Amino acid sequence: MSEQFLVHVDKIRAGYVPGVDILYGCSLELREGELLGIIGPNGAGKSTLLKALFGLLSIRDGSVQYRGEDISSASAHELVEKGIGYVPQRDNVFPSLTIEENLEMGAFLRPKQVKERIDYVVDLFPRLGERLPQRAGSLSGGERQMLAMARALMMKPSVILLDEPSAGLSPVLQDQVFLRTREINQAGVSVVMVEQNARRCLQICHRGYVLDQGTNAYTDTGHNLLNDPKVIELYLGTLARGD
Amino acid sequence: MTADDSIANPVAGVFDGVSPTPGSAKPDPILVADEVTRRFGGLTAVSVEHLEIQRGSITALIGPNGAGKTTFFNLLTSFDKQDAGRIVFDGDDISSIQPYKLAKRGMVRTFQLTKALSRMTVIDNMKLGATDQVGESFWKALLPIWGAQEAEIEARADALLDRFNLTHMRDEFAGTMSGGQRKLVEMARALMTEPKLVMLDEPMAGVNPALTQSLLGHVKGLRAEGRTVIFVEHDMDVVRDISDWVVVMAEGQIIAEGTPDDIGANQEVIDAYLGAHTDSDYFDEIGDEVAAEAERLGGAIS
Repeated sequence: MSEQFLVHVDKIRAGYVPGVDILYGCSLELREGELLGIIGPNGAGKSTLLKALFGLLSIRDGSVQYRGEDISSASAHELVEKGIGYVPQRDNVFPSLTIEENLEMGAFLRPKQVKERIDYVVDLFPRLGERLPQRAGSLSGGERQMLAMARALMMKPSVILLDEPSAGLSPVLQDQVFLRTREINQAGVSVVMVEQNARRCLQICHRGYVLDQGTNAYTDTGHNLLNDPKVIELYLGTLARGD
Repeated sequence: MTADDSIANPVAGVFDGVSPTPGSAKPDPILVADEVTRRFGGLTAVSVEHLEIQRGSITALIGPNGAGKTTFFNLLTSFDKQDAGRIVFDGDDISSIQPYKLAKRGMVRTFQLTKALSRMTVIDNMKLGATDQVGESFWKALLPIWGAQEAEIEARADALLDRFNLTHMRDEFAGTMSGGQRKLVEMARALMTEPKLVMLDEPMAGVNPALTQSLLGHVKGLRAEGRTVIFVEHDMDVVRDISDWVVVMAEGQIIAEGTPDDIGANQEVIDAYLGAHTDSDYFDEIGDEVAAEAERLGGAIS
């Protein structure tokens, strides 16, 4: 291998039910500092890829490396300690805990850093700062999404994995999520995001992967994918052209 | 905008004489809400003075997160009970009716967070949606007279699965489906009841854009069949493409009503909801920055 990647997923197979693979030889490379987007049809395996990467699913074949170390069989909590954060698609906050407690949970492995990290994420998401003592269950969908992202940042990760962060949000908030994601990336965190809002996603992503039926269909820079007629036709649909 | 302009719109022109103001009267409303209020403790989540939904039309309900859209939806479909006010569906007061009775009368809904029965196969999920099945009666269930109806229901379910590109998932457990696929099954299952009024809560969230277009054609098809559709949606392209009428909520109230063009030009709506960046120039600029960064980081990997 000529280039050392921060995360290197090499031809993995994974699935939920024994004997049924969702991913068939799926690969992904993430360089330090990159913002990656993963798009594709429903059921292509996008969320499954993130779960497999984060140790929530066992990998049946192939390997995942992080900074050159094999993490194929590492569990989620070990990966959090190594510097990988994950924001699930839904059910991603503890509704009965306050916003502050939710954030504390994000850094319970490093209790000494809690205060400093809360200051950092509140700076990024001022709406959360105004409402620290409120229960997370009282937050609207968009605010929950911000809390979930903020909590993932509490451990000062090198990489965060975002599963459809803009789903269910109003246009203004969706744009906010994409802008925040870019800010997080510019602050030095490498990001892998799965998105249905393919147009916005590819606009802010350095590179993108198109998955189809559990395997890689295309990969290129975000800019090139956004202008590739084949990708538009098959995956973005004409609505994504933005006319 | 899409290829589906060929689908007939039976209510074209109906809104010509309707004033684009909150609470305006429609020629033939199928659903009317009056002074509907819902409070959670000290918070007034919904406070709608008057709303009429035109029969046979596609009406979009939009608004910022936390505006009370889903709460209002829950009230309209009797999944929640209002503290005050009255809701009339097709001439009958439905303010305190059970949701399943409402489904029998022809109003059916889907959920923002899907509710598929995960330990049943997709086809069984679908067949469950059909109403007035002979086997629902204890005595009739014991007699071998339901075979023909079963076959008819299954054929209808298969036809719908085909329309939603789900035939390959027919015999899989619903629990194995991805988020977007669940959304589709839920919509297909709702249509099994042959409803007069279909209420869709964020039908396109999590659905791949390419599939969105065929779904939009399908929603227009419902209108062509004479059904009424109300949907909550954030994607303004979708709203503009299929709705005849748009209702905007903010802080529990209806702040605007009108055709998609009226709404797109309404300054109050732009401030509350659409935001200043919708022209996407800003993201185009970012896109250029990102493209340059991508090259610095090493460009494409083949």
